[in-house]
Amino acid sequence: MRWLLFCLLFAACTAPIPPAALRAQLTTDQIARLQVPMLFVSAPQIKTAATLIPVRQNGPVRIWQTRDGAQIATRDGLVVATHGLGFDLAASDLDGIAAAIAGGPGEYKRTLSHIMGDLRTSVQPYRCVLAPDRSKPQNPAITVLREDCRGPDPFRNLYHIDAKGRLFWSQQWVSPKVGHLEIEVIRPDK
Amino acid sequence: MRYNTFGASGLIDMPVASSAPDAELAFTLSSFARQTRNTLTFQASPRLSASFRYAALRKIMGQHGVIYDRILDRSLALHYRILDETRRRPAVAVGVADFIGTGIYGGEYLVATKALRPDLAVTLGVGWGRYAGVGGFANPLGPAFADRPDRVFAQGGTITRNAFFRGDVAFFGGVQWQPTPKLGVTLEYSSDRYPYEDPAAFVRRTPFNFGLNYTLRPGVQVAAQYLYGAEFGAQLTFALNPTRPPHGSGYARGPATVRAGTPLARALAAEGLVLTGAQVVDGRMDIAVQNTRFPDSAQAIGRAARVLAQIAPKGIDAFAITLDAPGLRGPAVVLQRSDLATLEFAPNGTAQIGQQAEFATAAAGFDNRYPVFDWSLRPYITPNLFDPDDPLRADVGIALDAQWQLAAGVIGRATVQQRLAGNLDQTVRKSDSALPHVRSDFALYEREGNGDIAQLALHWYAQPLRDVATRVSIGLFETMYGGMSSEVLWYPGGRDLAFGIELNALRQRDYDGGLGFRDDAMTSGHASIYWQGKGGYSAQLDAGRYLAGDWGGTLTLARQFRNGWSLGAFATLTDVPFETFGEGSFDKGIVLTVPLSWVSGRPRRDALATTLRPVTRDGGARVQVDGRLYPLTAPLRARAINDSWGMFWR
Repeated sequence: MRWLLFCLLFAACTAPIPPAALRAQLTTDQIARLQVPMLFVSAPQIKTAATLIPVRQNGPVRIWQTRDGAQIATRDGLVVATHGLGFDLAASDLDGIAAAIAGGPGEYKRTLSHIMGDLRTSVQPYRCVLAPDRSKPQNPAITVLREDCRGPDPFRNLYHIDAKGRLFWSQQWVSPKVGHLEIEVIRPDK
Repeated sequence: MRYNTFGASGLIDMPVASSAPDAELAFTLSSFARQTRNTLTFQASPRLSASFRYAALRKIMGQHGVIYDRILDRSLALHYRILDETRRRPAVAVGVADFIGTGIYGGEYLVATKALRPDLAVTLGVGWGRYAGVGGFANPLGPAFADRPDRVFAQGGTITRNAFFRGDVAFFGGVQWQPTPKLGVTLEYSSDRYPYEDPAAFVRRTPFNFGLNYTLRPGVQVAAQYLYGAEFGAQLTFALNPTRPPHGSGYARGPATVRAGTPLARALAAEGLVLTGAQVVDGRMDIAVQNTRFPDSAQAIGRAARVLAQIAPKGIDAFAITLDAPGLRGPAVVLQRSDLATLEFAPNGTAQIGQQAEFATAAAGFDNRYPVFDWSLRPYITPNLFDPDDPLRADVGIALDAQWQLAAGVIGRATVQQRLAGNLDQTVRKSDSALPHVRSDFALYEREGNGDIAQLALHWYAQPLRDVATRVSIGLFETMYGGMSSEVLWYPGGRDLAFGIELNALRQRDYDGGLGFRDDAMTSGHASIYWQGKGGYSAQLDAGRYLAGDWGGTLTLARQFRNGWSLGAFATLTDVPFETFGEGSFDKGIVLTVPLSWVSGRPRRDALATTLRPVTRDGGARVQVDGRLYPLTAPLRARAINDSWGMFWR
């Protein structure tokens, strides 16, 4: 009872495990035995991390879910929307970024939608530039793309793409309060 | 921007012309020379703010040299910004410091504020009443305004209008400097002479005050000030904004994934939706659901739509979803199955699905599924504020709520409370009311009841016409009253207005919270007009017969936010003379609704609803009935669905 009261007062019920420690719990063996694709996602700004598995597909959009019901919807690995993070991403226009990753124009427009406190949808326009990031020395087999978006809340996303052209790690911005999601594809589709 | 010691946006004691951000709700606690002021201020519109103040004053000088050791004073203040600040012109505001009350803080002002630099603002004002205590000169409004009547130590509550803007006037002003985003420095020249406090409570030496304020974190501000060359004062302000939920759109689980072959009722139950009817006509599946989880109607519809899109048989191309309450039904929202697939993750999908959705009359002849039984256990708190013997009393305990839908439209509701702790039973004030004791014996109920039946009633709801709802209730409605209650509500579709009539035949319940009644029987009833305007402003006018047999009307003005917050005030005037009514002169108060989903981020439909009355008397009293038609039908209607449409895909 006292513990419960402590929880209510200090919102400390889910003792945060550091994402790195959580990630370390997943051994290579365990990952090899997985029957379904899996993501490991951490959100450093809200101090949370979890694994997600696909639960639904709507056309090109795949919906990934944590054990407690939070969801991330992705299209080709790019975040379209989130559920259950609090200040969620309601929708995102991905045509520009998807084309840029595929080799199209590196400058494009993009919108992100969020639900405001009065339940209105705020659609915010951004101008983005996608370019290879050569700031750090890195494995030549990996392409690192950096997306810089200027707009109401400027943000920078990172996309790591392997030799086969698969997005295996990314850092994608959700909202000012949630910050970035760091998304690692632990087990890709076979 | 800071709040002043009176809880208004201001300098230190004096006001400024600028306003707080729209919808901000602030609680200010300030203390100086043992004068403690608690003020709740609501920025009701971008221009208008209202403050309810509860002050504990020590060593106040009355008439004929009497010194009161302690006075508890309630007052209401209004502040209206007439002009916005531009590059050349200052902001200008007018205010009344003690609108309904004993007039101890009685004063009015006209004030101008101009920012010279982003971090530096100057204020100059002219004041009447208390604001004209120092350096006063003749009223420029003319001879009709030359004299201000003396404050009368009466029972309060009346609007002392013949004092407004009368008597001498004086200038006041000050400078505010914001050296860092968190720190503010204020210097003011106060024209308040503190006529009732100086010299009994403190000795005023100069009109100059100096203050510092510091923002600890957004919404929490502390301030310290040195006032009138006499003493230091301290102040604490908590502010929040209903339009800024602390948890954003919340932590609700994402839309459920439904396995093929899952029964529809079970799939919907995973979303907190109770299926009350389903039928298929011409390739369209119509369902009715009771929403037990989501505070926003459109979110419930969006969740139901995604369940249907996943498991409805092939060949069904459209869905019609109706939100249901016992016996009552809203319009059906018709959605194309293909739109649900293509627009769920479209960049502008919420607006697009809104353009495609249509409202239709809900189909009749659903196979209603009853009975439905539901119960829950919750903590409760019953505060009793403003008792002069102890201004902060409360009981806490646990309450068991149960509801049983026996048949279509017939529902039984029961609430049993068990008190665990508290001090309401220490209320010793006896009612001195000259009216029948329809409310003022509340202390007897609090003393004698421990395990109470707070509610035990059977309600029959029906909807004889599309826009007409009816209710007949019998049983124990609240701790003090039981009997019969009946109601009709007409809410013409697409209009801002609704009309209702309620008639009650009541008996007063025994003090012990059991099943028995006392001898007093009464008939009460009202005709009501409900108005819901743009921007969430709403009004309700009730006219009729109150519990003590008095006739009159109640006007309630409120601002309702789409996320469920509501703040308002009401006043009731009846044919009971002010003297007969007693302290406060007439019934009035503040109504506040805080949705628990806003507080916790977890989806739930219940809310913390409070009515704050400065004093509980017998005039203008109404029976409380849980499940009145207007609040029950509102979430089902097209208006509520449209207003919350942003949550459709959430």
